[in-house]
Amino acid sequence: MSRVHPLLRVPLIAAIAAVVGFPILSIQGDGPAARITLRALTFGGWVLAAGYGLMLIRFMYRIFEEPIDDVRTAAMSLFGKRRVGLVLVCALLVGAAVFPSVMSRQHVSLGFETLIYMTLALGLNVIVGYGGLLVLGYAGFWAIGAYTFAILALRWDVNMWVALPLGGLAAMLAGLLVGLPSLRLRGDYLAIVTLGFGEVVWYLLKTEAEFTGGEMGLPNSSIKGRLQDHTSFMNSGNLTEASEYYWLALALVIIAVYVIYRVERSRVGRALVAMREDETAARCMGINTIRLKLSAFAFAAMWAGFAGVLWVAKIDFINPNYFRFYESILILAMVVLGGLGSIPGVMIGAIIVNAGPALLRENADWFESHGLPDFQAYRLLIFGAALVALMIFRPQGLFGSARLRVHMGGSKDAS
Amino acid sequence: VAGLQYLINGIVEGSIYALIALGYTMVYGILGMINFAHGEIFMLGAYVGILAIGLFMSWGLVLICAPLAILLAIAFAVLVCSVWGAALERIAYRPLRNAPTLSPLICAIGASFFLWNLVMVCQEKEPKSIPDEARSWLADVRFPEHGPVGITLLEIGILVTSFLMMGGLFFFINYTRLGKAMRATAQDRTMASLVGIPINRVIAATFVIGSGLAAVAGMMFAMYASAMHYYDGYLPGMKAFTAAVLGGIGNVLGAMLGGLTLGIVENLAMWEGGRVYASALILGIIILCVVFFTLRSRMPKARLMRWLAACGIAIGVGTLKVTLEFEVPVFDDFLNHVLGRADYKHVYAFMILMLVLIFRPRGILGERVSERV
Repeated sequence: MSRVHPLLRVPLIAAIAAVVGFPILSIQGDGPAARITLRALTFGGWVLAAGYGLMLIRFMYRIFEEPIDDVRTAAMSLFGKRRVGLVLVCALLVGAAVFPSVMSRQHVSLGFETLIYMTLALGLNVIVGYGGLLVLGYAGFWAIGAYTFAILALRWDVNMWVALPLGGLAAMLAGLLVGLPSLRLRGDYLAIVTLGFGEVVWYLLKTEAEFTGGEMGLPNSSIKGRLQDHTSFMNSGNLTEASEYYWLALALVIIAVYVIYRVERSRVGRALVAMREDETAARCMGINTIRLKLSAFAFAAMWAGFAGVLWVAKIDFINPNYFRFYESILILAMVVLGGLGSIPGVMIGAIIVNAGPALLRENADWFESHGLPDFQAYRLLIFGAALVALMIFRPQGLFGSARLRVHMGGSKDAS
Repeated sequence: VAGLQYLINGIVEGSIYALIALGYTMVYGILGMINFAHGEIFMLGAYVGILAIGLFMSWGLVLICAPLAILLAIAFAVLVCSVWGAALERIAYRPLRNAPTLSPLICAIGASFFLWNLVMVCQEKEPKSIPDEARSWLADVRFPEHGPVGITLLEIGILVTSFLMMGGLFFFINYTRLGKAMRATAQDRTMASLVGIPINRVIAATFVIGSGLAAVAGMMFAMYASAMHYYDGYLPGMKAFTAAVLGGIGNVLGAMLGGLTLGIVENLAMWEGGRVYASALILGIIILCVVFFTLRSRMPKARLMRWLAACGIAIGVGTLKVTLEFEVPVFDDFLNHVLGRADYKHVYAFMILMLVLIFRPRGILGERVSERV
């Protein structure tokens, strides 16, 4: 296939996709009502469009790479590198802070959700991006934080401010527990063990209905709690407005960014990166990898715990199905999409993965009137394909740092 | 005697797991990567088969000759899945063959995500079921017809098919040219290519064979459960991976053994009459571990003696527990709570997976601990 001209390669691939996808796409209906439709052809058409679209983007990127670089260097030399960054950060902060006062309630909720996912992605980035330890059960930590608050509030009327550190602590302990096997394992086996952890947490939440309400979630009428008689999770922190929760989540993200930024540039952060690149060498240099791994796990899990408490407080209801396996993968997709080990990249990844589909859903009418499909229904499909494409063409992510290339593949001489 | 029914169910489910596990273990043996999308190929096989049966039904073939329709559907599913497997390898895995550990795994997860959502988007969200006309001639014939313990024709069919396929694969890997090439590639890829083995073709063949086996397993699973969901690839896939790890990943015989073990353990845990034995067994294992490790510091030289002493004490306590029926307070409460709940059936697989990976990553039959572990 490599001998085919690039412009002809795309239709070829589209044709193959249509043929290969034919059975699953074109046969519709059950039993006697089964029939063959033309959907495989439409699918081939989409592959064609996507292929040419990607080629166009690459072409544009090549054309505009230099001008963009020029603008950036010009701005840097005019104002100084630090000042440009500072101005950008300040502008973003102001924008984020006034967001609830200018947008509708629905958008504020979406913003809150995105901020929570941002915290999660930042936390996961510590362990996957800096530590190079793939964790596939991160939603498990999130669930532990969330359920800690929910159960504490229902049984003992604990308010949100007290539960916030407790949720973080619970997730941290869970992180230590999962971190222990990581001392013996590396690479994909560790990933599978953490996946197992996430699944076991999910099944426990689903099964132990006396504590967690099972599939009915919490709060739930069969579980007698003091809280549900007179108030809700939302009121337990004396916050009622969606925008107040938005600001709280914003504060959490800012703290997370600051702390993680500082940690990344500290001894511990550099040790983590060193361990990612070569564990044996790192140990030879006197790094205590056992302590380092455990603390990385605990630190990363802690953010998920905080995010979980805040999440329950705002949405006022939880259910094990919020924390299924694919949530972990979505958070991983945020980290990978934005760029492993890059704080701004991960935050942009969270915005793309979480807010993107929601915005598409809002504008579904527009898409429909223009004859385009409902992209929102295909979001997981697109993220799956994006993960594959990223790993092949741009393993460091959209905004990743070049430092990672050694670890994630890419060009070998980049170190 | 009632336990026998659970044993039969366990063996039937286990043989399906074993068929899927073969795909995982072959790919891991050759490429050293976890083909996370394998469970999705399994699901795809079931879906394609069910769709084909639906199509045959609308053509009237099922009513004329149901066995022929099912055989054709299985053949169609195998064909489609082999192509999908090969395409997956070519598109997603080949470019990453020499990349470090994390990227192929993330890529495989992305591929698996893509596949299950593709099926979800293309077909309706409701489960696809096999029409009764195609299934009843197998599933409704039972030997003996009445009684507590029995086996249906379908279960016999599943057992026979899967054991035939496993035997065939075993023969194929050990005695054919391509099988030898596969083993050589698994041992040392560079060296194999140096002696003239076309490794790209061998790896593609591995994916084709693994996906074909998964398609057969998927079809049998769909017949057994009579319906299939688009997300039904994940859990059987993870269980099959557990089976592969349990048997020693990279080891074909181990995958078969692991699958059977997992199926039997899962189903026997559901058996209420066996609770006494199960608790005795688990207590025995715990005592064995405790005694073994306390003795290790006392008498580090006498390995055999330690084993004998530990086993003796453990077996003694176990038999005493069964015969005298005494209860250990917290332990038995916990077991009664955990055993026998349908939801926990799936947790066992994950627990086994985690424990094996942590304490004995090479599994039951694995000889060498791979470099990557």
